[in-house]
Amino acid sequence: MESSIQEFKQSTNVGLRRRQVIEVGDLSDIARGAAFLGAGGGGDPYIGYLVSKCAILEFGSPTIIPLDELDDDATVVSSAMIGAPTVATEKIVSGDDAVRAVHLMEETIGRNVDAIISGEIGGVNSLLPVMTAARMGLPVVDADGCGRAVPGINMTVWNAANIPATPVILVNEHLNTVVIETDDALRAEKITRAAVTGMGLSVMSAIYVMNGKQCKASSVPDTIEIARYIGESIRTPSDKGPIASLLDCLRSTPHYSKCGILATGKIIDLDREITGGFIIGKVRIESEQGKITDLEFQNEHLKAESEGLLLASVPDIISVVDSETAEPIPTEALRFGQRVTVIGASAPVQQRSSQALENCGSKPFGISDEYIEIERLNEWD
Amino acid sequence: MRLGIDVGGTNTDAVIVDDGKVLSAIKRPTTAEPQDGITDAVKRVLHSANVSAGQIRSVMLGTTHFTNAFVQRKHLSPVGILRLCLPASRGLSPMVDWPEDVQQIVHGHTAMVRGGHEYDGTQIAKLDEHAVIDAALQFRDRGISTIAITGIFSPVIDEGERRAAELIHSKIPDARITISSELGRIGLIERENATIMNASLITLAESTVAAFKTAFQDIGITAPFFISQNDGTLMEIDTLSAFPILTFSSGPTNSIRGAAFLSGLENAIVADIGGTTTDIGMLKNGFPRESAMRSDIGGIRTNFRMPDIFSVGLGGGSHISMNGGISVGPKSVGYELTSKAMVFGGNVLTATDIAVAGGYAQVGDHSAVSSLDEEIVDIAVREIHRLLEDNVERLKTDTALIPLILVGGGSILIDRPLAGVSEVVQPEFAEAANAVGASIAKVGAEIDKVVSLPMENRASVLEQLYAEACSKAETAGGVPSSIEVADVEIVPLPYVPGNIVRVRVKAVGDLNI
Repeated sequence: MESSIQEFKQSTNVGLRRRQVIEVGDLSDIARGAAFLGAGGGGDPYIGYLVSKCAILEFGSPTIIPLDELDDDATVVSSAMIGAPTVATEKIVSGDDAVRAVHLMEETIGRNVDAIISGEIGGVNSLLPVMTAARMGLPVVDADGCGRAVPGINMTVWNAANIPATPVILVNEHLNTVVIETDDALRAEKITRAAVTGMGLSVMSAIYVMNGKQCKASSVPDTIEIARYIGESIRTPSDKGPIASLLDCLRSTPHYSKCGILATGKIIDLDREITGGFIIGKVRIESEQGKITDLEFQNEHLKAESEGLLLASVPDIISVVDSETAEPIPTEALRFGQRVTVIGASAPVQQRSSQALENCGSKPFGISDEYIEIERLNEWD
Repeated sequence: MRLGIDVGGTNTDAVIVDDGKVLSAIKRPTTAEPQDGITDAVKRVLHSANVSAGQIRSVMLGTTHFTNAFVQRKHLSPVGILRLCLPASRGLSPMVDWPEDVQQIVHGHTAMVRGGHEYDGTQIAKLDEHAVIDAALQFRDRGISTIAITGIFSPVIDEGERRAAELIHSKIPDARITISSELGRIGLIERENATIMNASLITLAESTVAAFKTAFQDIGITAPFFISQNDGTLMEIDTLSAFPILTFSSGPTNSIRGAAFLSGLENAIVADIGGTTTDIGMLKNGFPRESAMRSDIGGIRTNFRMPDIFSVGLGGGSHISMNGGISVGPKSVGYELTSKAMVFGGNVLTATDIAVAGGYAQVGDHSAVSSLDEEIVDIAVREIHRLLEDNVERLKTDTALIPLILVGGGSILIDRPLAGVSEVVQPEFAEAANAVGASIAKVGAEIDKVVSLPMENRASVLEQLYAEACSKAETAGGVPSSIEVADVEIVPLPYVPGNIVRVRVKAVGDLNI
């Protein structure tokens, strides 16, 4: 993926760049980009932004390592919040919990951790690893385990690459801990949800411990920098306006380059309910010409359809943004009457492997349509 | 007889309302000390309505004084910040994202102590009373007497915040304490920000309240005195001393509520057309629709109740430009309309000139625009209507036709029917809609909680929450028989099993006077 970074440099003026450290000034753009890649879910990255800012002000900037520069025998672990993002906006992580989880992982596996990685770049878990890394004086890997947001720990590209999710270490604010050992990521997911409820609905985890070789072979590269670039393109759009600027940015990335507008219009119907702990719902958008587009979501947007035609489905990214500003709108904040643009973008190739689709494609989400790549559905090739 | 007053940045409006009718309206310039402009406007409106001060039974006042003070960083006090949270939330210090200039003025001293609650009201940790007393002594040693206390999930249960306030009072008897549960919503940082902002304004609020009271005494008005809040409900004048932040953004709210009253409509779109911009908002069941977006005030993020208003560059003073097609605004002659517009002897072609040339507005000198090309005037008239039409359309939630109420001096720009609008209503006294809105405000109360809402007793859980909101509205001064639930929002929490939802209930009622 070295070449991909080189290509961005040539293809854009500002664009993506390699940086040594993550600085406070980068954080709000990363948060904004992470909200877009959250595809409506993943939790508000604002809290991640605040706690990573605090950690950097107190402990200094963490270094950031490009995925391909990771040593084969380095030990890498993902640091992530698991639970209800709404609870996490009230009972905010202490930081000690995240550090304790990593230390307990080290005790459990009998090795020191060399680097922290984000489990999912979409939503709040984009920046919590930056907080953990800053607090521990560890580097953070510029990559993640999803390239988007997903609702279950079994839905990562790491699971698709047969890297064990376990041991899963959960730590709450009291530093109460739970260590989950099982040989199956889906079972780990179920046990984790049950444990999180008893631990106060928002916990920090250390999960998916792996070596550098495994990490390089499976992770989605460059996603922190890409999130920052997406955020920057929304915040400081070109003369073409925020939406066009966002699309230009996505096109210059390796993962999200197959992208476009799926719908533009006003939200004319919204149906949101809870079932089994998820926000499940539908939103209907009508364009000025009267064209109807329907989105289905389960925390994240799963599927976009217009007049009987499938436009996109998970794991490809469907993100609703404000038509004027291109600011991403999470599913909780959708409202009747909002003027929105639905942006669709290809999922990273790692999320499109047959094993990844088994875990995070149509079937596990109960979608009857078979997965077809967004660029084929929309004839973007 | 009610006296309604709106103190805006430029004008102070006063109206007298009796038995559902506006008797008189006066507009005067706002003064540096707001009570001077108030006294001026009130004396004039009493005189013009031929009403004596003793006939006024209640006074309602809306003011931007505190918003302006905060935005301009004037008269702010340093705040002692206490958070009841440990062992959670240690990693996030208060005010971390505040602009540096205001942080330096407002940040007095911070203490985080063990305490706070889970979403279900159980304790995260027992309140560390020794640590609270230590914090109080620290505040006292630094000469800090305005204090902001925020506990995790205090909107669900406020006992920790109340106990901490008691302990601080025991060490600093004259402390002015704001507790976050009084300000409402879930979201620790946004609520804490609002609590600190409020605390920083309390000293100013106390002196302002005293000045207002003296002003009314001097005029001879002894009636009870209320202040309008940003959600269109009222608080008593003495509550303002404790909650100045609740006045933020009450201006547009009053304008929308006033439009409702003057037109007799409960559901409509309201466009307040001024000299430079048009503020458009949605009237829903008699109240402004609230913004779903988080609001930034003076560069600080809060989750405050704000009306969903947006502004477009269309006003009486909007420039009409003819470079490559005819366009309207957003540039405007603004407050210089009465000297720069052609009908007032100036040489700038404005939207007002077009309305006069179009033959439907009667202001200024019509002959100054009689030589304008008819076709150009017609295109410009259509463009003015299209601008309003488009922006009204943006606010609508469905395709059904809805009435549009026009208020503000610039409403003379509009004469033709608009697409998507069932009727255009221009009520009498529309120019003083904001003061009218203040005069008719109701009392209200809101609760915001995270609860488990199992299907089997969903109705009874909700019933209980409604009752709680209504009883809070009664405490706020509502007539019990008039109190009703005005708005309910139920948002499920994602990624958690067990039907846990966040419920917000707002109850409103008539003021008991």
